[in-house]
Amino acid sequence: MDDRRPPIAPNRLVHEPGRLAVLVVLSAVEEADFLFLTEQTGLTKGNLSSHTAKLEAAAYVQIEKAFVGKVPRTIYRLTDEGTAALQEYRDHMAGVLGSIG
Amino acid sequence: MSDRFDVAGIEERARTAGYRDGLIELFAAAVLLSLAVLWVASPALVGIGSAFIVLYGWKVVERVKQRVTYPRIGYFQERPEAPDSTARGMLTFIGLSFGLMVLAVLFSGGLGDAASWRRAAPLMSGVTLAGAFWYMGDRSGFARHKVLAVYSAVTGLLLWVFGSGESYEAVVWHLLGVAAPLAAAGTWGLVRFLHTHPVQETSADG
Repeated sequence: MDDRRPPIAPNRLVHEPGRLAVLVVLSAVEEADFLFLTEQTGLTKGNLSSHTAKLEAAAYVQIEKAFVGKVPRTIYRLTDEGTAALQEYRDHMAGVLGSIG
Repeated sequence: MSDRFDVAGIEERARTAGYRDGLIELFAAAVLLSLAVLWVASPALVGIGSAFIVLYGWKVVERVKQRVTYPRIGYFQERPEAPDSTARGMLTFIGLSFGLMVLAVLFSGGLGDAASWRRAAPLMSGVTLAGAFWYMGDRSGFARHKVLAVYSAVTGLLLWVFGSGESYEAVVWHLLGVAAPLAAAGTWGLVRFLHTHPVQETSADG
């Protein structure tokens, strides 16, 4: 076996820091709205919209539009696929970091 | 985002966001004050009264969060723990506390001695609240909750050791003694939260 071969690449969708931050925040709560995600991740509104759209397209995040009184509220939840992808990513990175001491 | 990407820090902040506004501490202090009043008014009402206060008081907290917290840091719901394990843990702990109280009663006068039960009441209160605050500290990450847990257990023990058992006055003093620092911590937390988190524009939506 060739020891110099690169490790298997991580899931690029999760590996991007902005999307990883969104997934990590959603893994810590049951559900959250857009403002909470911007507050916790430090992402701009534009970046957050773009990242959540990609995560929704990959079925990692479920997005639900609702109204609280007359105020629109978009609720984000991590799906089972998203939870599994995040766990797989954590395991992968722990393995990579472990292999370099 | 900052240059330094701290996954654990982001996760911790999100997980403990529900405690940063101080409202849970203020709610807990209000519950303890109400229990102290119930002990003075009628000790027989403490059980049913505390269930009523927790059930309806929590709805008040949620309404306050909708007006104070969510407009500042956004709406979120904490991830619930498995109900079975939470209920099992609570019942086990209350059972252990009660067992400790029975031991204290046996030690100080016997199960038939009403004064021994009154004397041991602050011990049960101290240990039960210590468990609740320790659990709260695990959830919030705040060291002050664990300090409060130790303080509650120690003061409960001291009130049992030096108490006379003539009345339920000691347990009332214990509840007030724990509620006071809790209310102070909650007020400080709320004031700090309001200063550091201005209301965000309502259109901040995806």
